Amino acid sequence: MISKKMNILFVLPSLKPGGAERVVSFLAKNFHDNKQEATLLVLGFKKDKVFETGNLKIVYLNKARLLFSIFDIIKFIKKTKPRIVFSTIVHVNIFMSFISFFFTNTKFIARESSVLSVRSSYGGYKSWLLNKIISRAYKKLDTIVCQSHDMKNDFIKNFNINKKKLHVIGNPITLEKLVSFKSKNLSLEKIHFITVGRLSEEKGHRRLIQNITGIKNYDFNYKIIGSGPEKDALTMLVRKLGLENNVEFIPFTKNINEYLMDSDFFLQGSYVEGFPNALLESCAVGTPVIAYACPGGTKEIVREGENGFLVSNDQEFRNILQGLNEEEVFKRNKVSEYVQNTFSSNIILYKYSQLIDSVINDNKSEELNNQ
Amino acid sequence: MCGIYTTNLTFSEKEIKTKLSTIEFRGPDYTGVLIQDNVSFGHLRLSILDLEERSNQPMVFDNYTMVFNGEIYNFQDIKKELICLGYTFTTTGDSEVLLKGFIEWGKSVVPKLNGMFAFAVYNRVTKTMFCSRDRVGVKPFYYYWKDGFFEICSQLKPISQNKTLNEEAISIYLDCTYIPSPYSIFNDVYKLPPGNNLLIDLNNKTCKVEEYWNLKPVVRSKLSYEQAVEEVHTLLEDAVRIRLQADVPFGSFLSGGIDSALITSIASKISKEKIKSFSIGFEDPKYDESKIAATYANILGTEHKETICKATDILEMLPRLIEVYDEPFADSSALPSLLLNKITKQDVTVALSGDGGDESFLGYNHFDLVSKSKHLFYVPYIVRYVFSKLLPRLTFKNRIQSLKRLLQLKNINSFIEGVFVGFNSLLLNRDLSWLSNYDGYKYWSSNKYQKTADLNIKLWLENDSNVKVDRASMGFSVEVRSPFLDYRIIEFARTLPVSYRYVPGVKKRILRDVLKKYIPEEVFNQPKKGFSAPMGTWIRNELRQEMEENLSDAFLNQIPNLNTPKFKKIFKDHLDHKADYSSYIWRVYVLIKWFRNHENNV
Repeated sequence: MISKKMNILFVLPSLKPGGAERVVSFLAKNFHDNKQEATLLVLGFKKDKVFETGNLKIVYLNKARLLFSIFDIIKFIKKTKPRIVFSTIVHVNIFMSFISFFFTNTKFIARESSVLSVRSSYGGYKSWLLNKIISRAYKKLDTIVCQSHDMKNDFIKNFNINKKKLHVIGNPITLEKLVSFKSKNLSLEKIHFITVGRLSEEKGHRRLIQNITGIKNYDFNYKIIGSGPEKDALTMLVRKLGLENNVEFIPFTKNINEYLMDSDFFLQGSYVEGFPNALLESCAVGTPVIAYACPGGTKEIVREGENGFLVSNDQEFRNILQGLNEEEVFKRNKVSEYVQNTFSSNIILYKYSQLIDSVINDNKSEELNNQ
Repeated sequence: MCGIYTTNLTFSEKEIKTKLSTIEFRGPDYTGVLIQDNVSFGHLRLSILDLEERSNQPMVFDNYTMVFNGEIYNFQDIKKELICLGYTFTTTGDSEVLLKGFIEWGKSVVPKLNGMFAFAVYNRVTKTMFCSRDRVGVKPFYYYWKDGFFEICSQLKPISQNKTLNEEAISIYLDCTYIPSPYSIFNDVYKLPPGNNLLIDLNNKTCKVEEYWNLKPVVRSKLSYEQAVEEVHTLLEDAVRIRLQADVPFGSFLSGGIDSALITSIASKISKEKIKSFSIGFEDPKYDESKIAATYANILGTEHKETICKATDILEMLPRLIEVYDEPFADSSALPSLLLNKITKQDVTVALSGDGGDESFLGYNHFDLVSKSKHLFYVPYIVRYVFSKLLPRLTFKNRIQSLKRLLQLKNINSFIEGVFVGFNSLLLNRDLSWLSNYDGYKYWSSNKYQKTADLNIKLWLENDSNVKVDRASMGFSVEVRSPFLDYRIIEFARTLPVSYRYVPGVKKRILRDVLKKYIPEEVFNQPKKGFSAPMGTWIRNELRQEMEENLSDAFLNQIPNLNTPKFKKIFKDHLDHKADYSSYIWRVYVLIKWFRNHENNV
């Protein structure tokens, strides 16, 4: 763990269901449990909280948007004087980078959620002005945590960030480790597919639904878990393709793991990902994945032939689907092995501790130099 | 193509020639012996490429001496590479290319080779011997090694003097019907495993075996089924094309099966001359596929020669069997194989064969067995074990015994191994620890069919099928070439989803779809008969006397670890028509015959 006790402030827009929210609340809780002075500052509302945080100290600003909470944040930091401020999600990160100017004794660490330049083509961050702002702003941060090497390279290439400031740390598995895995016989029964994720365009549900229309030689069932703006369009697509009997839409639920464990394959259609948490969880419970090799963390989780398949295009995806009706394409415990060894909560926590240590020590050497 | 020999034991040229003469059938065209310093070389040549003397062996260049058995099918490409690097060639054969390739690249030449080979190259300056065997063991390589002395040969006979019998190998043989590498029937004599190099350093008297190729964990192809059909077809075409190079008359084995039909079809398409095809049929219709073969020949327009053989024809091969196989080997299809090659030799020296198709594309009947076994493994091991112990104890009551054995199988791996080593055993003490040499199949795939196929390739293909084909062909100075054993095809087939190759009820699915391009489906969609001899009947009739004479107590009691009372009961039950135990009887008979033959020679 971190070598000495210090005051760390974690900042989140909300504790609504989301990858970033899960990871940061997990980090905050664990640092707290390990005797750090950790506080979680949530800009939003207590009622939205879905994650378990034990007796971690949480302060809610009860504001609907970042814009309304600017002064409250500055006041809070001034009062509590944290050694480290840890933020996530791009607009919060940008804000933090600007106020870092006022807090010279505090280190600002930002965790980025997406491969920004690719993400920008999916609505959201379209303007070149915004990219310029990101470029300028992020330089002021002490350290940026990227979730994948693609993300790191994106920052170096497209945003001119110094690579010394960039660290790659994947997301942790926050599920309890499974002791045994169900074994299933594929070829004679139905094959169960699942996708978990926000129903938004960049998640690529559309192409996944198109791909499964090609399945002719076995019976299957496809559960799409999540909610989002694409819901209606996808429902219509399913109806148009005559797949109502095969496809089920399920809103986001707390029992995702149960669904994952009962599935045979996790399908991932994303065009870009920060770090696909649902995919990670799927592997953790032994369900192999079929995913597009998109920019982001997917490629760092999926190991061809070991816990899933990575495809480069729709045709390959469909070809893979064709050959699945046979037994034991993957062994469940083997699927889980790599991710458990690479992204277990212990390992990720350790990496973050090391990172924080190095950020603090950098400061020390600066002080020495200035004397 | 031929037989190789090399040693650092001291023998005179005459002695070496005598040794080689015992396996002269491997290379009747030329015998070469060379003694250099304290290393001797011997070579028996069957001329296939570049029939001139300049391609005789042992082959010497600079300080390198080589003896080589096999064919490098892609030698022309390697030759081009070497020419670009400045090498010149005085022959048109592949031997020279291999030697110069080794001189240029050392052991890195081996992965470049596409072919069947067993060779040894000696560097008299560094005093090191480099040897290599092809990826799936098409060509044999035996070596004796002890205390800095080696003796290497293509067959055992020339190096089997003064050797003691390996009793463990005898036990393994009684389970498998062959002796798998690295064992041989003799102590201190080994088989170089396929896909391995042997490095001997005479300076520090060391001997090292180093793997250069093996099956790997399956990486699944992303091709659609239709694309896979095309790819298989393309690969097979190339595999056949490079195997059609020869300066001597050429033919193809054609049975009623899909594999040889496919090879012959492609060969017919590619070859400018008419292909000669050969098949043998049996009088017993249960074993006869010759009519289907004749239909294929008709459709493909080959020059077809069919021979119907009687029991006596096959039985006449028996002495040849003992002569040509220097270790006990009890696959009874060895007999018709010998006969097929004998007949083929009358017209051609090189023949294409379809073996290897069943391994890569899941064609054996035992894949159905593996399919059915899943019912057994639904029940947890503990439950099955307890239940098996509760079954009535009735010795030799066959059904109960078989059921007991199956119930006591720990898991699917034990079942798969049982397919090859047998679920029942003639041994008093069965120790399967030798199987750990073949453990790879457990890790390369989690799919039980692929696992079975992998063990099939590593255990059965090398030690049974390839031995059979090598001895049967060399026994009559014929060279057999198997396009399905092209390593690119073996590797590619393993990337295909099992369902492309096998669905319960349809074996070799993808090969059938390729064959449809040449032969109408109705013609070839027949149940597989296999290439076996009606041994069961012969043991009770034509061979009965021979059996009773050789399977006497006097001989049986000499066999180590044999459960003699069990065997005698089996023999009696077979003769009394209570069951068919021909496989067990035949293997013990072959062992005794071999032993008697060996004692006579000693």
